[in-house]
Amino acid sequence: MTQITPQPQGVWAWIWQRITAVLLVLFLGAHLLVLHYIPENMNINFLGVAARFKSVLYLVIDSGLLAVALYHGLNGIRNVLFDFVSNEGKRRALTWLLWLVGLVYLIWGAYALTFFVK
Amino acid sequence: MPLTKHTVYPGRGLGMWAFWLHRLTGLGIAGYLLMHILVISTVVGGAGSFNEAMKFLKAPIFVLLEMGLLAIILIHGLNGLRIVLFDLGYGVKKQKAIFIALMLIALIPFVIGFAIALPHILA
Repeated sequence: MTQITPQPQGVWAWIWQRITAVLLVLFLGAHLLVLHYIPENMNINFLGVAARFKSVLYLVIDSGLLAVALYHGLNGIRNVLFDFVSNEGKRRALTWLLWLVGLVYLIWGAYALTFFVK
Repeated sequence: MPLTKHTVYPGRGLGMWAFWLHRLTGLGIAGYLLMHILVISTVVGGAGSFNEAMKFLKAPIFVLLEMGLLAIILIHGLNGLRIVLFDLGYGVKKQKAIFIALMLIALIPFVIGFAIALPHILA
């Protein structure tokens, strides 16, 4: 049977996964509630989104979501992959690859959000 | 003691289903997140491209798919709270009852969301 290390993901990644989990329940909950449970917001279009982003609180929640959700999602993928990859070098390469994907998405997503604020 | 794949695996019964549900819903949501960011970034092409993308995604089939998304987000989010609770040292002994209770709680926002979406699915 394949041996895998007792601390598969690293303790900080584990702690951050929990912190981002709680933040996601709050931020994603707010995001979904505002966009999909309030009737006047449900017709999603550019002007509506731009108007919502005039609220600093909503801007903070939505751009925070981008970073927090990317971290939680990509680290979650890493946790699953690490159950199948036990080689240290391959694990390190996967970690770097996922950070790269995350940063590219973060920069692109943040750049896109600025279009609603202009 | 080094762990084996066998000992890492979290058991059988309801706990096993909770584990697999958490994994599969997590992977599904992560995949959706990456698509979602790309869809929203159509705004880089101007307000027109964004509005066109939003209009396209109002088709009944996408609203129906969104109901699946809502379900897996509720399952993953509420079960995730259960995991955080256990890590803080609470509730481990009542893990099955807590799982069932959380899934019943998940039904409430799901039914409300489904009721809101239904006219758009049947449109």
